[in-house]
Formats: sequence, C-alpha cells, structure tokens
Amino acid sequence: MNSKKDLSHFAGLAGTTLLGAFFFFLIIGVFGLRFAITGVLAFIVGALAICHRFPAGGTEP
Amino acid sequence: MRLDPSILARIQFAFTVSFHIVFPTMSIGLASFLAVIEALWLKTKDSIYLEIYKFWLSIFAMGFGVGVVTGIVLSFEFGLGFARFAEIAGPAIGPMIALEVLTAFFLEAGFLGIMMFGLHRVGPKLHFIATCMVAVGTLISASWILSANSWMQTPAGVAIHGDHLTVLNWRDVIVNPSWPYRLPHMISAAYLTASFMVAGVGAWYLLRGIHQGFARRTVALGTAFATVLIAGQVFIGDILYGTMLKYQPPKMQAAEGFWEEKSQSPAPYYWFIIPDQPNQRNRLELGMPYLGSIWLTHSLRGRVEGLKNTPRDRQPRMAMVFYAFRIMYGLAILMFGIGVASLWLRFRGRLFASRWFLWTLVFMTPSGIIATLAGWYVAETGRQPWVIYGILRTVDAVSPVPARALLSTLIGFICVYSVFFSAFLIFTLRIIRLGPAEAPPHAEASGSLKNAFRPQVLDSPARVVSTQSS
Repeated sequence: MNSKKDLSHFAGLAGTTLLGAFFFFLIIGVFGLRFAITGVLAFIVGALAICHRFPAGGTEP
Repeated sequence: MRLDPSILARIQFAFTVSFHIVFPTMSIGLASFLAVIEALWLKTKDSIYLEIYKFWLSIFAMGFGVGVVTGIVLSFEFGLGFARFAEIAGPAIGPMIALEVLTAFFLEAGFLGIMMFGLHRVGPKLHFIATCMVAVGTLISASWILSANSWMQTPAGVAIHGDHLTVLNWRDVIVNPSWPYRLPHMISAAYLTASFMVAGVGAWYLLRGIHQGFARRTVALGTAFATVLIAGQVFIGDILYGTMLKYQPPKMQAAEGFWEEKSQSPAPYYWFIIPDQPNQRNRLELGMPYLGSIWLTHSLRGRVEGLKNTPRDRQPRMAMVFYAFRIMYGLAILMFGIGVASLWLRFRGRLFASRWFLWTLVFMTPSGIIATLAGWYVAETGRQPWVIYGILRTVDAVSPVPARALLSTLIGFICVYSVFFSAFLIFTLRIIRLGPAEAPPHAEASGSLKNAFRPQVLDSPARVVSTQSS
C-alpha cells in the first residue's frame, strides 16, 4: 500500500518536473517566439488558475 | 607597488553601486507588494493583511533610507572618479538623472511620510493612495535610471563632435534600443526579490511554528507572485538576450564561454570553465552536450559564436561575465523550479506541510538580490572596455586624480558602508525575530480629504477604537 502511494507520488513528481522543464524550454524560445508567447501566457494563466482553485491550505509542517 | 587610478576608480564605483543596487531592488519590489497588501486589506477588511503591511513597511523604510543615502554618493562619483565621462556624457545622462530626482524621488519622499506615519491621520483610503504613489515613484525612478544606463549600453540619439556630445533626439536617447527590455527585466527582478523575501520569512515562521496566520498568508502570496513573475522574467530575459546579442555581441560571447569564431556542432552548454584570456582558450570546461545548441541557437546542431570574433582590445573579461551570467541564470532556473513545485504542493494541499520546500524558501530568501546583482555584473562587466559602448572607453573616462586619493576614499566607503550594512542587517533580523505585532483594529476613517484634516483622525488607535465602540 505504502509502495503504491510512493510510486504515485514519484510519478506525480516526475510528471511535474517534466512539465516544468517543457514549459521552461518553451518560454525561452526553443520552439520559436510565437510558441514562447503562448507558453508564457499558458503558464501564467495556469498558475493563476491553480492559485485561485487551490488557495493554500493543509497541515502544519 | 604602483596603483592604477583607472582600476581603483572602477573598483570604487563597482563597490558603491553594487552596495546601492541591493536597496532600490528591495524598495521597488516591496513598495508594490505593500500596495497590493493594502488593497487586499481595504477590500477584505482582514486584519492579517494590515499585520503583513506593518511588518514589511518597517523593513521597506529602512531599505529606502539606505538606498537614498548610497544613491547620492553615486552622482558625486560621476564627477569625482569619472570626470571625463561626466564631461562627455553629461548632456545626455545629466537631464535623466535630474529628472529622476524631480519626477520620482520627490514623489516617493513626499508620500513616504504619509505611508509610514499617516494611517491614523489620513484614513485608510488616502493612505492607500500614498502607498500607491510611493510604489509609482519607485517605478518612475527605475525607469529613468534604467534609461540612463541603457543609453550607456546602446547609445542612440546623439552626435559626437570631437570631445563633445550633442543630443539630436531626446526620444531616441530615452527610448534607446535596450531600454524597453531592460526596464521590465529589472522591475520583474525587483518584484521577484520581494516575493522570495516575503515567502522566505513566512517559511521560517512556519518551520518554527510561530505566527502561523501571518506565515501562511505570506508564503501563499509570495510563492504565487514568484511563480507568475518568474515565467515572465525568463521570457523577457530571453528577449533581452537576443537584443544584446544584436547590439553587444562580445558580452554574450563572453557569457557563454566559447572562444572559437564558431563552436563545435552540436555546442555544449558550459556550466564551469577556467578561461585563459591571454591564450584565448579555456583550460577546463564542463558542459552538457547539445544544450548549448538548443538554448542558444534553438536548433539541435547550431553553432555558437565565440569571443575571438571580437578584437582582443575590445573584449570583456570572460570569467566575470560568464560566472555572473551563470549565477543569474542558475538562480532563475531554481526559481522557476520552485514556482512549479509550489503549484504542485498547492494542488496536493501540502504547501505549508512540506519541510523541504519551506527550507528551500528560507535559503532562497536573498536569491532575488543575488540574481539582480549578478545580472548587473553581466551588464556592466560585459560592456567593458567601454563605459559608453562604442563611444568612450573606461580608461579614458577616469578623472585625473592621484591613486592615493581613490584608495583612501575606497577604504572610507568600505568602512562606512560596512556600518550601514551591519545596521540594516541587525535591525532587519531583529524585526524578523520579534515577528509581526498584532494589528490593532483601528483606522476606520472614511479616507476622504475632509476627514483627513479633522482632528479626530489625528489620534491614537485607542481613541479611534473608543469612537467606534461608542
């Protein structure tokens, strides 16, 4: 059970890292200026949506 | 040992301006942050925002004070250390510096008093306007200074007649080719600086288990601002990179650590080099294959131009430009990663629970300041050997003053600035250690001009509270 949870956690972390790396390359213009503008707008809109949808909460450290 | 006045003048200016830029960077970022926080307080009436405002206002005010004092020194140094520069560039630079004082500094200074001491005197709404005016003042100030500095990087709108410079078109001088990109890059850097400072202090409180409400709100706000800002910053930075590659190729050639006119294909991205400037080669280089081509040429096998494309007497020192750029860029990547991680943790509801993330935020507290300093080192050392790019060399811009005078004033500056820095650090750490004070439930005046001059709002919090309760 625990290893299944760890696996899903690791998969989520790896997915987030890959997505972040993809956005970084997109934003620095590796795929061209038009994609860079789209990428930066998509990232900002996505970040704002997550911050709005999931106002920080949760347990103490 | 023979001391070189031109080297000493440069060291002195580098020291004083490096020290100075830390404080405006914080002031620009914190002023706008305070304006946002006060707007949230006025909108929600949640006293936690007032608590956040008051806490960061004290640190902002100290930074503003040190920034003003150390900024005045710089304008004198133009004349004392770089008289030839002041003489030649004065017609273009002088009015911009004067306008910075007239349009920005007076605005900031005028409203700063109300911002600091006026909450119970003018009411919240007028006080909010004062905060906004200070924030706008910092932005106008940054705009003029960046315009002046960008003109030195990419001079335009002037004609040179012998030893004299004549302005032909003020619009071209102010809106010079690099200014439209360098200004948002700097402002965004200042906002990122403030975001990471705010988040870092909040994270520290969370780790210690104190001031939970304040800490949660500041970590949430700081990481949200930082995440949105870093995406824009990386984008603007890339556009600025392309602009500087066009106008100052040697700077960007030095920043990438390549010597040959055309690098191998595919080009690696160097993270560590030991450059040998006299022999125009690297003694040691460590990089990631293909990444240089992908990042710098946006193709898999593109070649990168090296510093040998620039004549030796016009080359900047590669080591300084390369490592300053790596520090800035490395921190930007780290900030981007933290932004993505904060979104992931927010999604999982563990933004305040993840200790590794909170510790990372604590360590990243000064990251904005370090990245901004590194960015300025890229800009200034990469422009060498020119002080006004393509027009005036730095060695020709120095005042004819004895090396002894420059050395003694440099030692003086180091001593006085050490006192400034120690005092600022001690008081800031003391404020952080004490923590945010409980915000009193006061300042409910209407904010109208009429009320601003009524005696009852010129009163203590206690009286306002008693007025409300009656």
